[in-house]
Amino acid sequence: MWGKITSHIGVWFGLEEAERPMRASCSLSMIHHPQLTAVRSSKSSENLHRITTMSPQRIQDVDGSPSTRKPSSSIFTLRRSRNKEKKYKNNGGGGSTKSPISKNGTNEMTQSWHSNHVNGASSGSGSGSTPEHHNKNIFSFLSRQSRSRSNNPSETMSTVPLNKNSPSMPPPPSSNTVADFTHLRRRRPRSAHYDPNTITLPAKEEVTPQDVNDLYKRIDKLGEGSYATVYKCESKLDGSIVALKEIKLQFQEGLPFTAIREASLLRNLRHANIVSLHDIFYQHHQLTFVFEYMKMDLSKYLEQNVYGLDSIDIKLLLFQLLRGLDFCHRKKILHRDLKPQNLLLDEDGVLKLADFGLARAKSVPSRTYSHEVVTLWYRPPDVLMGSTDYSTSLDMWGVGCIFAEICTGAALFPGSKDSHYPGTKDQLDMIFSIRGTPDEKKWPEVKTLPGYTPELFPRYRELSFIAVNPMFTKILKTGQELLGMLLQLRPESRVSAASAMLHPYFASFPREVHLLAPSQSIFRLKELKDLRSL
Amino acid sequence: MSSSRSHRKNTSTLGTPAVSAANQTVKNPNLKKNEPKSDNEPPKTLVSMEPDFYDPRGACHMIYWTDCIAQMAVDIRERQNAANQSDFDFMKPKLVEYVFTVCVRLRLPNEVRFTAALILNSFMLRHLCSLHDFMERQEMSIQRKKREWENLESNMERQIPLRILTAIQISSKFHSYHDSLSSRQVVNTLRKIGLPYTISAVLESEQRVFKLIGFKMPDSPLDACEMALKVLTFTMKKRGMIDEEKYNDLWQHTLIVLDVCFINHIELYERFIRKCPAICRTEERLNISKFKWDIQLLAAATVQTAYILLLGTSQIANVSVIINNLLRCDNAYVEPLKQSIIELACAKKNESIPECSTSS
Repeated sequence: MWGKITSHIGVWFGLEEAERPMRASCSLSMIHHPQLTAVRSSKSSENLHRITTMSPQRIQDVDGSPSTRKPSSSIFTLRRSRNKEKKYKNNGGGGSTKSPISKNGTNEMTQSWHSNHVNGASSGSGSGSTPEHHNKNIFSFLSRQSRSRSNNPSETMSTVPLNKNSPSMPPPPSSNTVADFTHLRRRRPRSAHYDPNTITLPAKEEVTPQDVNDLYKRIDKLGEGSYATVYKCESKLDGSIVALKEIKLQFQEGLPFTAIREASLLRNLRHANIVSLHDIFYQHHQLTFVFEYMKMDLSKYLEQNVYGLDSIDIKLLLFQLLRGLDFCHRKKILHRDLKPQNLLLDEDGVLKLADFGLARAKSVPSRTYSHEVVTLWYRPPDVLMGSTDYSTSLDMWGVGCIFAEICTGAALFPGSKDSHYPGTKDQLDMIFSIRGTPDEKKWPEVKTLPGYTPELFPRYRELSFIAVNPMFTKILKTGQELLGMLLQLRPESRVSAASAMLHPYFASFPREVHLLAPSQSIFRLKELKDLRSL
Repeated sequence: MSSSRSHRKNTSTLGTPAVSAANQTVKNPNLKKNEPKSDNEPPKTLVSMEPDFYDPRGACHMIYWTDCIAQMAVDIRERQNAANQSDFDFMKPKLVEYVFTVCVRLRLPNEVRFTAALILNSFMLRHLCSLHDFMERQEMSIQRKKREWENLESNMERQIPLRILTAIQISSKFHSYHDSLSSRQVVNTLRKIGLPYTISAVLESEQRVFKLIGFKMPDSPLDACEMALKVLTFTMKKRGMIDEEKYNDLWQHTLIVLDVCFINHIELYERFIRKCPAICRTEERLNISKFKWDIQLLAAATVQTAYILLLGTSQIANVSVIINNLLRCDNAYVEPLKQSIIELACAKKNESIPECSTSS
């Protein structure tokens, strides 16, 4: 059966079977409709075509056969809005249709750009294909009559039994050529006005999708952002607690790109230090992510510890952060929004990276990406100055900022956009005042950054972390050294997550911590389990 | 894409699809975000969609290169283990070409078209399976089932343009925020080809496609090609093998070769399998499917072919060793695939010559 179906469907696109071209569909092949003409707009800012339609009289000339509609005995009935239905009736089913057919009968969309380049790529010659190429264009395969609506023996090679046995078949069309406009005119409006996603079943057989509200009971609202709202929920099946993230869909935009990236990236990230995406529901025009529930985030935990965390907690949390991030970077994924609010904690002191809404897959070679990423306080200086070809070092600056913050209890670079400096200058001033003004000898590439304006800043010298805040003494010299490696102004000099985990700051951890499987928590090791005080 | 959007560097004007379409397409409205609003306003940094293989800045940290390649190999192995002979049944040449054409006309980044074709293939397969399963469960006569199946087929067929645009929309959103297609833009595009879908229908289609592909984005062979080219460039730079301006040319050739491979993959792998007598013939379709999942093999052959096309065969032995070692590909498979690509390209070229002469 499967083979039959695939060959059947394959015939629709079937190019191996050139002798059986596809039927004149009301969808793609519509654009070949001779009643339509398209005029390339000379200076149009639109990307495709300006389209004109022929007069109804000409349409009637072309369409000589009576409209045949299938009886509605099917279990699959197509939904049509009442307004559209009225319109359909008023137009007699033959309303005007638009299609980008050029005057010479070729379709701009069907003209293959590819053959030209395969054949003459090195010449770099102009675009477009010849009219003759139209014969082999990508729509030529659509020119076969409908299997389901035609009894023409020449067209029913694979489906003769189906058609013969079908009591509800319409009368055969008057033509078996591509230009059988009867088919097109009869079917095109249906395509236009039916909701294509609807297969409505009779009430008795209706299958309702599993409703997320039937599975989970909302307990509390955990937070609300510009693109999602997060609820604490209890599973009605097993009583487990989860976090539901309801994505707000924008009517004009469709699914937010953040949701597409978060869902697709998190599906590939199964790690003890990355929040688990259990399930995804889509219903009622809403997308809902089911995440594992975590007790709190790091920012809330820091609110309870205004002078920073204990030295051992700092070390444990930092290591887990690096571990999760290293896993992402190995899979070429940049988080791009590291901050305490996006680091979740559970009762056992396990830290997990969350909120991959801004995350993206990174290519191995450098590419330019948006520089409007990462919350201002955790944004590295190169990106603040407009760099767009960043890499994993982007996240490592954020790790440094968080490392400093959990030591002291306060953000290290709490810049403001509303200060006397415009834009991101205040943030840069904060950074330079501690890390020193960039030295063009050590960081020659800084001169190429669009936002590099050294004259705006006083000449700062790099300060020791102890001079900035005495609380840094608790991470000892090795910790300060690691912090310095993370907070390097030059992105290429910043330490990677993999290297940072091997820094002597973590020398007190057992070696086995580097051998754990991704899904295993570091607290699986007894030595570390005994250390935690969270 | 070496379109006019590539502002950072003067890229080669070799014939990528984007170059050919540059005169026929208009600006993606999203690009306005990057343009200066007035003469007085300083221009914002323009975003190039081309990867930079030469500059070490912004590249993935070197210590992660091997990890990334190993991870890709693991993913390939997993997909091969779960491979089915029908995995690529919807990657028909003209369908892929249509997807590519739309992407080029909309001036979307290069990676969008490859991912979109894979999304579409994945969706159509799953969609068909789910509908077939549904029909199997229905309690009705065989004749009625057949009749209903015809209706289903018609519906699926009618929806193909919508599904194509939806696949492109999802792919564009995944790859680029600035060049992503909104539902409104999809509606407008469909209207331009005479299909007045509502915005609700487009929105629903997007959710449906995304759900049916399991909320996962397929790995693109272009990603593997980029990886191979980056490491090849790095190694060649160290060895002083070719001069600087060739990197972009190599990239443009790689894009062209990969386009050819993607569009003609059925013919390509048929040629390939004929050249590999060692491959078991008992389950040929399944084996071909497994080879098709091996995007590293395809990337290795693509980059090497591009190198031959651009720079000849004088250094190809060294280049082959570098790339095959990097992507952990067996030369016993890379070589026939490489030959198949070249033969395929020659065949296609010969096919089109009569057309050109007729037209002239």
